[in-house]
Amino acid sequence: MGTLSVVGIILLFFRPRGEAGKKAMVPETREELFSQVIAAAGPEILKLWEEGDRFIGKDPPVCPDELEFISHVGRSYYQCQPHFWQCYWQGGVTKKPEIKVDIFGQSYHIEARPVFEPIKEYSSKHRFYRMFKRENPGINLHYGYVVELTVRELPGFSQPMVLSDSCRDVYLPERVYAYGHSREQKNEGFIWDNFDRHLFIDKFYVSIQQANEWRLLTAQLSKFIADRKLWASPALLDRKEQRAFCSFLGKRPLEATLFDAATMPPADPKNPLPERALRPATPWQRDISKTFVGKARVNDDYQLEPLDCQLAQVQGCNFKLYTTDSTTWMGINYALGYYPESLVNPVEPNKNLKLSSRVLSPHSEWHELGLRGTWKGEQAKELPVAFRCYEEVAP
Amino acid sequence: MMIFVLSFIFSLAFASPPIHWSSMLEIRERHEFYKDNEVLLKPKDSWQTLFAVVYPDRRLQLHKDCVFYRVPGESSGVFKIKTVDFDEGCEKYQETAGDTEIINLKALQFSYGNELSVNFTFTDFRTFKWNIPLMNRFKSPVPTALTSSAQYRAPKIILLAPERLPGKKKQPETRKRGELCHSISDDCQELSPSTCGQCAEGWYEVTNGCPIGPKYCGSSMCGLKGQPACRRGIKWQKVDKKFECRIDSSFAFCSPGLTIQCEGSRAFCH
Repeated sequence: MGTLSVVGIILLFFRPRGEAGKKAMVPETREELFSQVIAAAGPEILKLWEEGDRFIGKDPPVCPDELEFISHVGRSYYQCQPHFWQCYWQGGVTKKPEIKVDIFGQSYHIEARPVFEPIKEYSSKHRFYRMFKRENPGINLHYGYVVELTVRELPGFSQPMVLSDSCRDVYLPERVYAYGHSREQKNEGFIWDNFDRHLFIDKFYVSIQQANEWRLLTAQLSKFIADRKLWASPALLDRKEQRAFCSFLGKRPLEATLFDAATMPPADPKNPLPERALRPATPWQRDISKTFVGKARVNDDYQLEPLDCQLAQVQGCNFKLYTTDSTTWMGINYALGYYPESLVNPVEPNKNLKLSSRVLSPHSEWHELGLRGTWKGEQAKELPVAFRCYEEVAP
Repeated sequence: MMIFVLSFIFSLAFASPPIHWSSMLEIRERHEFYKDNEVLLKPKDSWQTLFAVVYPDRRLQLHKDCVFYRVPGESSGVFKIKTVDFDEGCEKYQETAGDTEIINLKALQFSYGNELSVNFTFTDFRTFKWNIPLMNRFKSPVPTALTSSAQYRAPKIILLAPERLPGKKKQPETRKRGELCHSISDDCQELSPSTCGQCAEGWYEVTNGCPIGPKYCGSSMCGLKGQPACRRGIKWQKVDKKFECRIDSSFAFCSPGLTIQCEGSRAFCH
């Protein structure tokens, strides 16, 4: 029995251990330790960058130089938002900004460094980031943000890195799509498909804050808009500028065919090659008469309900931006209502403006997918026109 | 205890891995014959280029470290790193002095997978290993619902070399408007791989009925007068490789009032 016990103990000592059983070895050099701590902090760094809104508590952050926290701006605005990153590290969100990482049985604290030149249009303070537009083919991103991080417990080292804007656009699945309005087409209408194409559409309108970044990088300072209260609002650019903006980021102004594809939910999302591609009149319901816009058409006394305004911001709704209440089937927002939106239309070039918007009453017949008016390409006070871009990523 | 102290002292005596190798974008010029983790023994007393590490610095400029090894024979082995211009080949630096050299080597092994490992064995049988995590290593995912273009193109975090590296000669530039970035023949043969991802301001396709058409850097409003026709999709593509755009151009469309004009198999709107 005694011999068996001794053999058992010896075998136990030599038993194979799983990965979980292995204790991570502390790197021998401080350089390697620093690299390991930064690598371990990756998910938390991304959380702060991509989900900045989750760091906002009951009290709004205080960063008058960077952000004006306004109740009508939804929290999506603070995702992949360089001004939120600046605000956080300046101490506007929490008194002691840091990212804590536990590794090798010890806690390490990551901090960002304000090593980038001030941008006087924003403030006189040094920046915790700089935006770049790619100038050489090394990094496969058209633009992004360079930040630099240190580890408090490992002085003497710093790690610059690029944070990509992974929040701006969303993939349009490959399938057969219909274009246009159902009532206008007696036959099958215009059908197309995007198989073997990788298309990504902006989730929201291009904002003034994004247009400001473009103006700073292209030295168009006379058109920089300094009022932070307006930064989340859509950038009201003329057609030529819209094209220049999208092109600067390697993108194109959104096309009507793509807008319809992104807003009209397919009958069967699992079947990319349906025999018939449908043209639902709203993003939420195929039969418009069952929706609030359909009911309002036939009832002059229709009273808007809060849920209606979540689906489409029409006249009479409270103004709200960056809401995700009416996200379409593939993930873009503002399908109906909100702002008139400019679209490039290769199928019918004159039908280049989504007219459904917050300036039209809920009774308007323009609140329907596939219906478009004409925009001459220049902004006017009475009809502010928003836009967004899309990107086709090369094979 | 004594062994621990001695090994600690030895480990301090060896060079740390270059910290900027964590920022590696790609490995180039990898030795043609050496396999991962092979003990490098031949050809004796010759300089071999093991691989080159390409990485961006904090200014997003690209740099390249050539890594050489003199295989031990009559003399002991030497591991050498030389930083060169991004677009230079490593070969011509085999015989020149390195920026970093590790000498008195008896054997060397390296491998390149999720991390870059280099195993040094010295003539006095001491050993040392570099394990460098490759955080910038990236394989484009198959896009699914809610994938963003940034996620599809690159890692969400791209590490940059921390050092302020001296500016090298002219950096390669992104491709300019009008340049052909994906050459596809009229009979659908890919004549050169796509470099359209390097276009400064995006790219556009001149559809020719093939599953993939030729592409140019810049922007174009397809379907409008004087512009390339728009691609309609695979459902309308030609199945037969030998087709005639003039006979059937249904693979493309133009705005109303315009007609498709074919230049070879390429469709334009007039």
